[in-house]
Amino acid sequence: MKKLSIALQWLVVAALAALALQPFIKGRPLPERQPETWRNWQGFMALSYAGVGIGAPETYPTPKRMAEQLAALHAAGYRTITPADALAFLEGRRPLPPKALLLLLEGGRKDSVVFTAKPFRKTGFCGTLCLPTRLLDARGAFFLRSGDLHRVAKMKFWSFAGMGHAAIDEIPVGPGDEKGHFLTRRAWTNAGLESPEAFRERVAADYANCRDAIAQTVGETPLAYVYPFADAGQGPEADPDAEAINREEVAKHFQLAFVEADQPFNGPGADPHALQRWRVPGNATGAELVRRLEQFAPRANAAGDLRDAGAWQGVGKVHFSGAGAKFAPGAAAWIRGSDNWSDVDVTATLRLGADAVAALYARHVSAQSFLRVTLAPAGLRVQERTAGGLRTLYESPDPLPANEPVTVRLRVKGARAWLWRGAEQLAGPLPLAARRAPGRVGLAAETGAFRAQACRAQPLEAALAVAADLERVPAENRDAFQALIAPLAGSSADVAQAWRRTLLAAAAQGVEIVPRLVATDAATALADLRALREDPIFRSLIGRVAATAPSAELLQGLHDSKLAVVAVVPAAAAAQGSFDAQGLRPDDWILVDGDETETLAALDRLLAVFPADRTAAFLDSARSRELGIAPAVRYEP
Amino acid sequence: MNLQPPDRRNATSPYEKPDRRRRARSRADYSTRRSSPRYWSDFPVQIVVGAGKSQTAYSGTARDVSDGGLLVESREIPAGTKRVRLHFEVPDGILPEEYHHGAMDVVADVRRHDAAKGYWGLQFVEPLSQRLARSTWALLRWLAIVLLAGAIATTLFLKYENYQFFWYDAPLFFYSILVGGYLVSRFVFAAFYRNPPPLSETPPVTLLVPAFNEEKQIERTIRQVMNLEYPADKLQVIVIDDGSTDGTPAAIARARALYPEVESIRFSPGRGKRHALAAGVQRATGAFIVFIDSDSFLEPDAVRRLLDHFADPEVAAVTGHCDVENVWTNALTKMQSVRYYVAFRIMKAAESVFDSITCLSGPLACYRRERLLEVLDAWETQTFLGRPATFGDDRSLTNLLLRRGHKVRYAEKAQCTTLVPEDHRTFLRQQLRWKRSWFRESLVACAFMWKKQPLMAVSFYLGFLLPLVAPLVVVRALVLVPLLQAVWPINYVAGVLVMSAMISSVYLLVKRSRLWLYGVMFCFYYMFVLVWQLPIAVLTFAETGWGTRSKAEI
Repeated sequence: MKKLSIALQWLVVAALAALALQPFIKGRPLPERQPETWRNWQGFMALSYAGVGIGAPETYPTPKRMAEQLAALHAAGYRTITPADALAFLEGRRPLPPKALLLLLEGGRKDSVVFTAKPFRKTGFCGTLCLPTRLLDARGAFFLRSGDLHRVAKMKFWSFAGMGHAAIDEIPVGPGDEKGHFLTRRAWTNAGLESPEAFRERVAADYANCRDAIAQTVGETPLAYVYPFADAGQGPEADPDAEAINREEVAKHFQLAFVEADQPFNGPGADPHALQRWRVPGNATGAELVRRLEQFAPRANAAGDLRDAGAWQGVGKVHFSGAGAKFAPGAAAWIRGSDNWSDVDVTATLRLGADAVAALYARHVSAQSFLRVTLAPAGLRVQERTAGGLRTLYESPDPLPANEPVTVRLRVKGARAWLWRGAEQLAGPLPLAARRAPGRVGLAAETGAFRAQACRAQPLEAALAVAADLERVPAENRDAFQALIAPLAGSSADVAQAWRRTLLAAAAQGVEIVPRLVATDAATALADLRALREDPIFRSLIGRVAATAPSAELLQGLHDSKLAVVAVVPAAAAAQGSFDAQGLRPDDWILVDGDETETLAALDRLLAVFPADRTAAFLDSARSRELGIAPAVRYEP
Repeated sequence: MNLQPPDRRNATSPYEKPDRRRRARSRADYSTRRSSPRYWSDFPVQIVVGAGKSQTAYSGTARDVSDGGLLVESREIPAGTKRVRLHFEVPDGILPEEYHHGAMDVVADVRRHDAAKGYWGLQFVEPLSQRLARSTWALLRWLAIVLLAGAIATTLFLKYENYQFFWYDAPLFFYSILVGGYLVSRFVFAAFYRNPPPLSETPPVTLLVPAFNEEKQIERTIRQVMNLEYPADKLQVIVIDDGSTDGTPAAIARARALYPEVESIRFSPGRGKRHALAAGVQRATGAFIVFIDSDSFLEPDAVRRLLDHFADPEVAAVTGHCDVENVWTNALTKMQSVRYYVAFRIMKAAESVFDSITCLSGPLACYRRERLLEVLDAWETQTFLGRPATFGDDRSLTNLLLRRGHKVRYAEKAQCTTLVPEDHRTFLRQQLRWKRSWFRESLVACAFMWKKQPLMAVSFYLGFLLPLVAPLVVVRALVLVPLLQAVWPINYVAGVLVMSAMISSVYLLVKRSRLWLYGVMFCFYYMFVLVWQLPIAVLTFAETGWGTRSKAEI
């Protein structure tokens, strides 16, 4: 009996010891991260929370609601990333997990850590704490303090972002009691309104102080910044120069910056200092949140049905009904999921109000980068805005009647665009900027009001064709691809003449020709190319060159000539890891050449380090779409 | 023996009225004749005779009170009265504490009337215990159960939270989990404690009473010892006067005049408690030797209940249950009352389940003679760092027995009371001495406790290490965090509150006394005051002085 008692006691001791030591046995919990399996080059969503707590449930989810939202996101396949992951993605160095989420918890509140600890552990999620660093020394238990950050940093579930130092304060901006935001208004001092130089200096100092405070506390420089009050200077009350100054200064101190937006998606071409973050409604259920995010997700099929208000993201007064959509002055609506579209074919039927100017955007990245058709009583215009400014590519002399439906169609493929009014082609191919970022499709009322009766937008597949020349490609197929890779054998006069003809013909059809260097040594290949590019037609129409498994010397030579490269990689070699994509630059492409099995194996390796939207392979459209790459088609004689 | 009624104004503890005979010799088993004790009292009583319009109220004074009745002195009550209605409130300290719950309104029958003295012997129609059991005690019982369940549930929840946020502050949360687990384990193990069946034999027993300057209590101590329910021919009582300089020798002499069978030894000058007891052991003839303190007041069946445990031949020693005698003196003694109860009925009971209690308490402990003689010499001549060990006698003797692999137990039903310090200075010096002896003897016990039953061994080492870390935790919670972060130690205070609720609810459940709240007070007193003594005790544990030799007065 005594022996039994002793034995039982040992069992109890062992069980209690296991219980007490359980945290040490299990080890420090870590977030779920398997970067080696990530292959998503489409983008990520940035969700922000003001905090977690009780009271004001529309703004702050309760702990229970927060856990529910996170569980629902996890169950729906979303996975979280860190700011470092987002930066690597935007720089084209690394892909993301499928359905990538960047969770931002603003305000540096302790309840954010406390109430997400359990859900994070359960889901393997990680988050980014956005810290107003002035509060690191605040007395009391509400905000995270320096000591807390040390411990939080050890928990591995958290990254840190800046949210201003004194920027969380409101400052006097006028002689009376008027207050304004620190980062976007010039301060009122004893000597009056501060000068623009002083304003810039104050703003710059705040960014530096915030970054340094976090770096000193956690030992790591933060990569990301979140604007306090969601104000980056774009609001009407901001100082006119505030947005630009903040933009410049934040870029000097942080590599990423988030503005509050009406949708959370950020694609590979997103501006790293104007990334979009979306405030999650505190009272949204998990199912509702997942539904909303699905609407924001990039899509590859046709869209734009005006009868489905859920398919659009409205800004301002837009009223959707069975008869279409009514746009109040200044209102805009974007097709959800169109943020990543590059080549697109969009048609819209609009009825303008008196003195209204409506715009059909085929690509809208920001107010500084877009491609659109404007419809005004004076006529149609096709305009493209890039860093170089606003260019009007086409202007129709025919006025547009008010209150009558006008159907316009804009097709964008590669660096070319075509415009139709009704069935009549008005212009095209119009030359577009060589380097362009994908953007969303939508409608906007620049001035006045208008009604949209119909809209349809279809992303065009970015396919590549491989053939000896353009003639090998059937005419009816030429519209299906954006570039043709054709061999360039030498630089003789005959070759040059043939190529000149081909280049001009292709350009007229909006097809880019990518010469493929066939010379075996880099010096010969570069010499051939140099000779051909003495012709201005070659120089203007050739932006990319293809080469099979290019050497470092060839790559360097091509890059020095300001040419992008399409590296044709044998699938077998790539599958074994013998191709190194390190020498490629952000404009370069990879074309995997091989049978399906070898190609898939090669892509599995390559897409871990190279963006899918600059990768092509000889796979069917469905498989290519699934992988996010461009399909390639070989046209044999 | 002075049989004059004692002064019961400002009573600090109940004073049991002796049986009319000096020893309960009228029964073969020496058991008491009374169903419940009677206590000296002196408080006003309103006596209502008659009912309705014919009722008349008279005043009187209660001279003694028991669960079943009152002895009232009143010359106003009409002769021939058979039944009365009484209104009275028993002042604190007259009855056992579970009876003190406010005013009483009871009906009583007249049992006897001494017209000459004006005494009326009144028997309650319903004993006070029955009445209280129906109302107040039932309510308190439920309150205690809810409080205990809530406290344990809250503790478990807090420990669960410690797991959830473990890596946020691993050292602190690991400590918190261990402390919570240790505390709950005391209650769990104590719940397994069982009293053995009564022993029918009455072997010869020697009772040793060492005394030093105890003139005020020694007579009562001896009287209560001589009132034990034990055959007189089997009970040897030896009083050892260890060099008293007050009226203790005279008091002993008076007691011996009343009880000639009491033996005495006198040392002058004194030799120290250990030597006094050792001398008593040398003279002892009993098969079992009981050590008590000179201010220990034994219940009549205390010795019998101690001996019940010796039916197991492997048991070497048993300690009794000790409550506080001077409960009602002030807040300090009330706090100690709760503390004592929990220390015995929970802590010692938890250890007794594994036959390895770590301290046979000085107020009441019984030893098997052969086992005691095995270690007596080593105990008497114990030195520490080259100097004679002059305190921690009880722990030291316990260690010697445990080291030899003997069973050492606790007897819940062997009850006594003892006087505790009534002022903070004396109390703190006593506590510091106890902590020194605890630390020293615990260090000694570390060498062999691992051989004990597994759960006991783990409990011992945790019980040794955790209090040593406690001051660091307290400094962090009460000093560093508030000063550096301006964060109020709400979590820490809440934790102490939960722990105190657990302790106090047990007291409430068993004692049904309104003193339970002082358990909460004691926990805070410990966490804010006593915990700071531990580092001092650790640093000074080689000191040999007692620090407190004066005793509290009744």
